Amino acid sequence: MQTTLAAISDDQILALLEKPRTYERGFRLLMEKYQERLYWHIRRLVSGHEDANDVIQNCFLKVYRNIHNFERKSKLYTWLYRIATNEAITFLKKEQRRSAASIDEEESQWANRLEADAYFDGEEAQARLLRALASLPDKQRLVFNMRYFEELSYRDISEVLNTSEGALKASYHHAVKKIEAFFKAEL
Amino acid sequence: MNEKDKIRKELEGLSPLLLKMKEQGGRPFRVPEGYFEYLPGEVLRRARAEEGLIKDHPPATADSTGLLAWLQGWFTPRRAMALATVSLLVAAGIFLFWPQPLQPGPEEALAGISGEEAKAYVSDNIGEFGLDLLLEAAVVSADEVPEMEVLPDIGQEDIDQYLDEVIEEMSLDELEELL
Repeated sequence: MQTTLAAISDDQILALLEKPRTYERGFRLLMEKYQERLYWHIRRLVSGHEDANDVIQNCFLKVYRNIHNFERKSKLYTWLYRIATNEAITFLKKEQRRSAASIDEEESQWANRLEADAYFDGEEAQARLLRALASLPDKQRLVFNMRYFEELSYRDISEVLNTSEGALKASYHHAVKKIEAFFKAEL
Repeated sequence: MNEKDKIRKELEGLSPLLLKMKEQGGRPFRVPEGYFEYLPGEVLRRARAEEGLIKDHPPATADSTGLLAWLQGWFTPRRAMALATVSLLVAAGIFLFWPQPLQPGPEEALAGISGEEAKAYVSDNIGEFGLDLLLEAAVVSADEVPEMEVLPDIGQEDIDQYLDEVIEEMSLDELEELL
């Protein structure tokens, strides 16, 4: 299945999405090709499967309605990442407004949610890494996730976040240093 | 050098600890079984449901949309209150100042009744009239006298004389009964 999907190019998927008769087939292929990458990207940002599920469904519904607006100026997956990131940020902002929590409280709530997450089975070190991530500002957390976990190039991240590559490098370096300091402080 | 190698080298320079964690750790989360098989179908189902709703409720035409927007503009709470107040004042004004139909006066009301009918009515219902009304009716102007069937003009002396004659003709018992 993965081999078959990898063999399907974005151009082939977009060609299917251009015709009403093949639209659903093209959309299903697009989802099957990118859903896991986008899901894990969202999951690291929002924590908790249920929230990630809501966000990714909304993300793909937007893609379903707006794929005709994709102008092929960027890669398809960076366009998809942008939508997923915006959806996740919108979700996080709503959550922040709802709870009106301070950064410390937010970090603590995040840790509590992690402990309560039935689908988290990481080791202690991974849990600490996620806790350290929760202490980062949103933008640094986004950049760190995309670089460290998703292994995206600065150019691709630049397309998704509409930020210069230099600023992204600085953001990533700061994030790494902060997380390292978080670990050293706990030891 | 591919992107993965670049990222590894960069991280090695920044934080060997994080590099070690990255190389050791897998993905700390998992998803419910079969989730990624279920997700595309669920999204498509929701997308079709949304499309169905749009088709079931076709978009309003430009004209009706404009009319609806205009009406909605009028029914904002502030405007609706103002509209209700003005309506109430207009209704009160109409009620108070609308020309009322004139009620016929007593003379007009009796215009259709002949003199004979009036006399018959008074005669039949004499008991219904109060003393004041009867006395008032008895006071008539000199101009009206010829039209009334009353005694000819009689002086006080004539009346006194008439009464003396009547009294003389009455018996003692009749006088006692009168007094």
